Amino acid sequence: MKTKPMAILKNGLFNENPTFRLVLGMCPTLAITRNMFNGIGMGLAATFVLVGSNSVISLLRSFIPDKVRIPAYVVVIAAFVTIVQLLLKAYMPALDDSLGLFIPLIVVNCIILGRAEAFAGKNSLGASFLDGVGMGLGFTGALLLVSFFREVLGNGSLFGFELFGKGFEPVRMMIQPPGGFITLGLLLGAINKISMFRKHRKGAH
Amino acid sequence: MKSVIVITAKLLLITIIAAAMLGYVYSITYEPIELQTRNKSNEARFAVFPDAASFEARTEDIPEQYRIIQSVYTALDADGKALGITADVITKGYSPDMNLTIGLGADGFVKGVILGAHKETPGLGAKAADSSFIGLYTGKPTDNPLTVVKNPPSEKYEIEAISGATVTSKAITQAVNTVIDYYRQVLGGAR
Repeated sequence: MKTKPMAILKNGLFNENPTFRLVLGMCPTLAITRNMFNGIGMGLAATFVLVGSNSVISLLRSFIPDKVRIPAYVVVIAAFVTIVQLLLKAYMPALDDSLGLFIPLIVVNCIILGRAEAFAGKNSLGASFLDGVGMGLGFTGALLLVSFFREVLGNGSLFGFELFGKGFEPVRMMIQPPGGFITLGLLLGAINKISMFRKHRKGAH
Repeated sequence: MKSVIVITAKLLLITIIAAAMLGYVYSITYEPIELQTRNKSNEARFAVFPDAASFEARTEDIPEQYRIIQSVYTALDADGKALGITADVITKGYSPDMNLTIGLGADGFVKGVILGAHKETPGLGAKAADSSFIGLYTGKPTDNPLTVVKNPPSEKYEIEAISGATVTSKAITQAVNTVIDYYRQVLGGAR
């Protein structure tokens, strides 16, 4: 199976965007998107784990016995997540405080196990690496999009900088859990609508 | 049978390598993590007691009625003279496990209060961390318990609650009062 590198990257970013097209990794998407800082931190941490686990699993794909591939994948993923956690605690304590429990929970993020099973276990190192980058950045982009709406509307700020004057009364609900569901639902709907519209137009020509 | 052994050995090998990798990263990050934790608690003490030069842990047992107090430090000036105390408190706000550091001066005034790790509601109780609320405690006299009011305070023992987060405001004030009581009744300070 030969696929062009750009096609693999684009696949993760748009065509099979983990959040909006595959609808995976909903738990962190809803929980940590209260602000953009969290969104980019979580996205990059997951990207690091995804690239690392995809590469290692792809390298080991003929070594790992098929019968125990899931436990083997989980060991590899958990090792990378623990590395991220230790590095964040040591060098970026503020981000670690703010993401808290959701860093160790990257282990059970279905995007990562999903890509190991669906892609890295069957493809070459280079392709798996690129798939990790594409999927990871696709996830990061999705988190940024959700947290953009939530932070601007719910806190009146962007990356912590106040956007509006004193007169703006932020919609507090947006940074609380219901705001996460509402934002994600509306974005999913909007993206489906756009892609349906584009498909329709392509069909007409 | 043979395949079971091969599978087990392979999985074992993977876990051993993963464990070795983790051990290596842990040994590198051990010291920076320790440093971060230490800095954070000392930073909190300096933030609530800016005039102090150093802090010394106190060793007295803390009586049952003050059990929200986790540890108490004496604030010392450059000559080693005691200026007051700082106390680390874990109490319950709207959610459990709200961490506070409170500084009290021997001169009878609150030196400062800061909110550490907490799980208060973002946008409501979490506003307690802003200096516009937590700064209200700085300079309050400690000869009378502080009370929470919903309107702009009319006397010096009053703290104006965060709108929509009275529970959090009261919990913090209660914690400050507990530490004041402990300092005056048990340690005999600020008379």
